[in-house]
Amino acid sequence: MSVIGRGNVCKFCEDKTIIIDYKNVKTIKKFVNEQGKIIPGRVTGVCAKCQRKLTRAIKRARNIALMSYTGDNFSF
Amino acid sequence: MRYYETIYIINPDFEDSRLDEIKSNVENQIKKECEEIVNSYIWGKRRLAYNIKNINYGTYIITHYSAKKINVKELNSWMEIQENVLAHMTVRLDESPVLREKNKDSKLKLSDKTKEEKETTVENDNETKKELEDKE
Repeated sequence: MSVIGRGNVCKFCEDKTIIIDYKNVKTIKKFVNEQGKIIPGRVTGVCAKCQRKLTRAIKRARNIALMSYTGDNFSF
Repeated sequence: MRYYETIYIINPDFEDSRLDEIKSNVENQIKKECEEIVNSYIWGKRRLAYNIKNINYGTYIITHYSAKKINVKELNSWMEIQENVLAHMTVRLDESPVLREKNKDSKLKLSDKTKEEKETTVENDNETKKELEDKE
């Protein structure tokens, strides 16, 4: 899995205009898989500092019903 | 000084008058502890990611305020008693929030001021001209 991340640069460090915030759902959604799980930083190439901010933002967004806990296409 | 942000969801079927009433109610509760309310605005109507009390859509309201220290537990317990608030969350901000323009009236007022200033300058010019003529 680490091969995918090799050579990638952190997206948020590269472009400092992007703000990691729980209200900014469009950008956060890219770092979650189909099941709604947070994708690890070593896969997406996000640095450790930004990954910490990201996880906090995702968890806040889930709490206030902006993002689902289980993924969009989840059905019983 | 610390800055906080409170976000809460309200049933979207409510009328504007009822929505304002709830909004002012929450603001009054926040005012008891905070120093100054910076922003308070309706973020918009959105589809909820999951049902809350069998409701699919909700209107989000955001308030920014500053305080030395706030008892979040007390605020949360008060919010949970409210029947009209579907969900809520308070968060501490890292940076001071950006001020939102409430109305365009402030801009109009500014333009009026500039007009007045221009008029006064014109009058002054006229006076100076008269003085020059008198001297001649």
